[in-house]
Amino acid sequence: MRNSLHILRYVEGDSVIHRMNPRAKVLALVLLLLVVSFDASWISVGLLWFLVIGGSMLARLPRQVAPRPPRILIVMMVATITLALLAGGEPYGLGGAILQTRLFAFTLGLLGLSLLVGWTTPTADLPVAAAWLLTPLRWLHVPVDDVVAGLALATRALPLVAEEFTTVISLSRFRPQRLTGPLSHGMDLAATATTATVRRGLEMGEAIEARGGTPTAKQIAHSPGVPDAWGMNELALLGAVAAIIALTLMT
Amino acid sequence: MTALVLDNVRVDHAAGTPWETCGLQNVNLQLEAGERVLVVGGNGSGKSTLASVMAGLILPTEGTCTLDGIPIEEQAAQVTLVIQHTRLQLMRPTVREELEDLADHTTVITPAVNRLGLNGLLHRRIDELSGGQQRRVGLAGALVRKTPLILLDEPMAGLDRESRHQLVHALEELPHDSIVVVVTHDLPASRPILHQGLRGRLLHIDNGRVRESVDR
Repeated sequence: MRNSLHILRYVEGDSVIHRMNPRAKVLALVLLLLVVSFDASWISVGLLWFLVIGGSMLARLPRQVAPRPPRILIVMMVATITLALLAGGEPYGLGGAILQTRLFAFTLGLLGLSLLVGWTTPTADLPVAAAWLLTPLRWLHVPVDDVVAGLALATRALPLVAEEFTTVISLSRFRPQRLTGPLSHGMDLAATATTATVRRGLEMGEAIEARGGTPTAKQIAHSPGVPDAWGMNELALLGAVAAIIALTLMT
Repeated sequence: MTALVLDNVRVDHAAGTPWETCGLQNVNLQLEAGERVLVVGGNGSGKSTLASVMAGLILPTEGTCTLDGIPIEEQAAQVTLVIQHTRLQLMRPTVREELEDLADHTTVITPAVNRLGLNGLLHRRIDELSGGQQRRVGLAGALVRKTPLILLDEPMAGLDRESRHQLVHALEELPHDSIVVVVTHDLPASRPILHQGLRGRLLHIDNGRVRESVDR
């Protein structure tokens, strides 16, 4: 309906980023998420943004794919930085605000990188990459098959659920609110959206059972539609990620 | 007299993005009070988009949609929309609470409940109902609210023959001066609706264009 969100939507293309093995892209994303989160210096944040902007240019993504941030988000970010300003800190009493700004820049950079992977990787390939990445955890007795099946389902269901949430919110404008009040109305919205989501999950589960159950992580990881090959492009990406991680750890 | 006017309406989904698709183009319509309008077309032809524009849920990329000269998105209180996945719009725990929530203090829900055979379901939880029963609750909501513009998106979908028949007859209870628009791909079952109001109109949609309009 209005202001539709475009979650996990593939942008058609034949760039080097599009052709890259999805396993390499997801591995790079996870490594950055794990390592840089521990200590996001300005250098690593800058390199992260370089990766996002450079990757987007290489993928020849149009500017219009970027979602317009909601005004409330911008207001909250400005308010948070202003509050952090009151905390003072070095240098010149700006320490809190600088730290908060760096945190936002880092978070948005990671979000941008995730979106970049989503825009340049067919949705069906993401569970393949996740299955490949998680398979070694089987040695630690992690229920990898279940986790991967859940991820595969979530990947498929997320756009549907987002659409249903939007529908629920849009339709609520037709309801009288004189008796319920805003709090109760909000709870009704949340309950309806949750029920619809659970129902959608049950329907998908039934459909999967009817088709013979979920495949194992190993079967998903070697899906015939996704190439196994690793070439120079994948190595270059992982090299860039390794450089960011090294700089993060050194600074 | 109420009039819903669509003037040169065009809708582009995800406009300005790589996923842009055309939902409707060059739609010009004037629907008058008391008209019963059937909108038919294949999957993806633009039927539901048209209903969403008429409900003010989707704003036209070009053109305007007005009810009595006022933009439709400002007139939520004048519009009832029953969607195909009715569960998404039933927000109270039980059937009775749902209908009482939609009714104003002068309205009683009993006629709508009787007309749609919901007597035995009044105290049931919405989640315990089948898809067809939930649809009937949604339609009962339309009977209760009695707004000047009533939009039903695929009301027959998933209903058995008897329920479809029951539903078509229940629509006779809708206010005769309301504009009732029924989006459907089941023309044979829906055709009697054309004879319920002051005037029936049949609209065919294909590729986002209203190609044919046959008056009764």
